[in-house]
Amino acid sequence: MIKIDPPLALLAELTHRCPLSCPYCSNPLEMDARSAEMDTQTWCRVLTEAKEIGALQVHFSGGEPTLRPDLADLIAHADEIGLYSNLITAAVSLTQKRLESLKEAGLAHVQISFQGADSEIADRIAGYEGAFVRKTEAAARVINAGLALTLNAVINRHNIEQLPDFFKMAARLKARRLEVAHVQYYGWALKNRAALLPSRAQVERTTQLVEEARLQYEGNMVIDYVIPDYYARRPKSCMNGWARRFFNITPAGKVLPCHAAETIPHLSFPTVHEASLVDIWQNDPAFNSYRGTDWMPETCQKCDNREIDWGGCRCQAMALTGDAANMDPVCELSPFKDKVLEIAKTDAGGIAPDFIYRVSPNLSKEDTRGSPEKITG
Amino acid sequence: MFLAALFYEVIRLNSADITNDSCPKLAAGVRLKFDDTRKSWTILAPERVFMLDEIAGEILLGCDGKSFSELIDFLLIKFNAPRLEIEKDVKEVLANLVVKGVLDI
Repeated sequence: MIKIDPPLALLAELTHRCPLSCPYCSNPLEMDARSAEMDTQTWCRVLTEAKEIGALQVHFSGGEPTLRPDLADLIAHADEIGLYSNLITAAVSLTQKRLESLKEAGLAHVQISFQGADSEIADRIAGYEGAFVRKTEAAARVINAGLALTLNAVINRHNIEQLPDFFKMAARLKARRLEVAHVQYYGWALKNRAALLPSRAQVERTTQLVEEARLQYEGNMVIDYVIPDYYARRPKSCMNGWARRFFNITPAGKVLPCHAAETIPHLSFPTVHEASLVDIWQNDPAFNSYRGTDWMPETCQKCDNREIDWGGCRCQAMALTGDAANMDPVCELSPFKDKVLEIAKTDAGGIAPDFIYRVSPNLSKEDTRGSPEKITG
Repeated sequence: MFLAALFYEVIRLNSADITNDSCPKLAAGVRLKFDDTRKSWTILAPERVFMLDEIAGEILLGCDGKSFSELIDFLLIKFNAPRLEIEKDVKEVLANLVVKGVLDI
């Protein structure tokens, strides 16, 4: 019998609509329509159930969560029941007034993604003219409102040389936390891998710069670092283990152990409309399928890291080996590791192809109100 | 949106940086809550959760605007240990939490 601990946090994808078109978006290729989005009351019930099974934090995300007019109501509900609220936002239309209403409702922390350290690169990757300037202004408003700010620098081959500028920018904007997060290759990013993946030499240089910056900014800014794991020796502890610490809820109410889990075709996932979260967390067969260590291949079961990396990522095993139950192929012990390195060499070594931009479902004029024309579609 | 990984991990500022007049308090975006599920005090911070043992819980509860020396007075009542020993241990805990972005001094 596997011991099931209570989850720490849930990712609440309130909508898949987004004004940006980033080619590495972690949303699935097939997105929920606006008409399928859950209403305020259902989300509130879901938050209450999440708290009841032990969740401590909720990450309001999307798509762009601020496109939901009821965001403040959801934050207020989370606050009332004792859930810590984090907002993960593109921040291109975050006004001071809106921020203050979210803070008033109980918001604790705001995370803003940056696609580059200047307008030229950031706007091109986001597919949105003026995104960089708007994000920079919004970051300043977050600090003005007295909220904690994290900058998320999403690293790929187009902006990797800007890393020193990202450090300076984060410090200038008074972020207390910076995520230097290499793109992870799932969904849209997998489609765009040849356009995004940096070389091993570039990644090694980045790692060195992060180590130096951590010392330089110690006590003022926490720097978290996520490498593109194709080059790693051992896999990442994806989601801290399948269905172990986190779960994700899609705009329409599907409950997933991680945001990419639907790429594993033989699993079917429950929705909040047909079962309670307590039942799903404890009993759902898809949640139990890769929990703990019993499911692991022999190499993983014998490995001292089995309860550190939990066998890495199931979706990556699916995407690169065709079987989600294989060990994560980025692990140096995997028979597929050579193939992974070959893919990386080919993709990172070639000329970067054009981006295949993410396409937002049902983005209305209202959603981009006050925004300049998008430069791509 | 982009989600790389969620960081939940349960370092180093020189303890000497904390003086008697230092006023350790929770940084913006950091909350101290008692969790009924785990029966434990927790620090909830941006993409981080720290589970506190009883002693760490008492220390954090005292970080409410008190100066370091007042905090030690407060903890002396709770713990039966010599003042110098408490000062040394508490300094270490606080310094560690400053580096992690949990406390401001």
